[in-house]
Amino acid sequence: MSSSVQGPIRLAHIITRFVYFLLILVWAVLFAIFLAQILFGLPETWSFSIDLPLKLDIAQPGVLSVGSEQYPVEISAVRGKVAMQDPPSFFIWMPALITLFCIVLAIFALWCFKGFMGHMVAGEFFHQRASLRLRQTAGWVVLAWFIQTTFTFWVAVWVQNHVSFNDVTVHTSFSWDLAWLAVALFLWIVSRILDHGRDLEDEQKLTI
Amino acid sequence: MPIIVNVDVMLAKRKMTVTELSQRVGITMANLSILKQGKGKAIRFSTLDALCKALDCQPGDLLEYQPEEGEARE
Repeated sequence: MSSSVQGPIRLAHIITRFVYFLLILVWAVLFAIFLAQILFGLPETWSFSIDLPLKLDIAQPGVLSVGSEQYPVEISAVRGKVAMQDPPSFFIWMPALITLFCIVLAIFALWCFKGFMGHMVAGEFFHQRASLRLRQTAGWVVLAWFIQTTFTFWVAVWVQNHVSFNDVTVHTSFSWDLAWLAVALFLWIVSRILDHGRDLEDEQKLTI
Repeated sequence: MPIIVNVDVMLAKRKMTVTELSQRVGITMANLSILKQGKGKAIRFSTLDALCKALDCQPGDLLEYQPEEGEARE
């Protein structure tokens, strides 16, 4: 392989490894905080607010005045988060656990991707394990996306049923974030292309 | 694969060793072994040409089509 190709691959490999170890560090710190909270409770000086990742349609009625005429209007389609001060403990535990779990899935995904990049650096583009690692990465990404999406959906439903504001009507809406699903699909397609490449390589090797 | 490479038969007929054929044709012993064992997926015309020259035979003498059991019944 030419060095012009090898350079960016090496760089991507280094970045992947760096992000992988950084994510492990982040997980360890978050887990330590989580564990400390279970064992000792939070210090009183700490103020926690939970941001719920929601798309909110806040419909606030108003009036439009043109000359002497008045027209009813409504402000809506506001995107935001629900910040909670001193939320119930359940609202601290649940997102913390989901976040920790999703980071673990991201670590698995990065571990698989790191393995794939290792094969790329070694020039083993069509190695069976390279495409396998890529498919595994896609699998972990899909799982993390599914859990995150399910959680967000559940939160949307929960907020719709339990949260109310004075003089403001809140319509929570659930939006599909398909970006990670698209990434997983792309990785899966690339892995299938590598599989096909491996077949061609085998055929080439066995052509006498 | 139903295509059989009869290099062994031709080598016996010409009383030639695999090493000698390998040297004459210019392909490695490993590749000749792949051919003999029927593990090869394809054979280049240039290789076939060299084999025919070395063994003084026709491509048909080297290659044989033997239908698989299922195909034969049909």
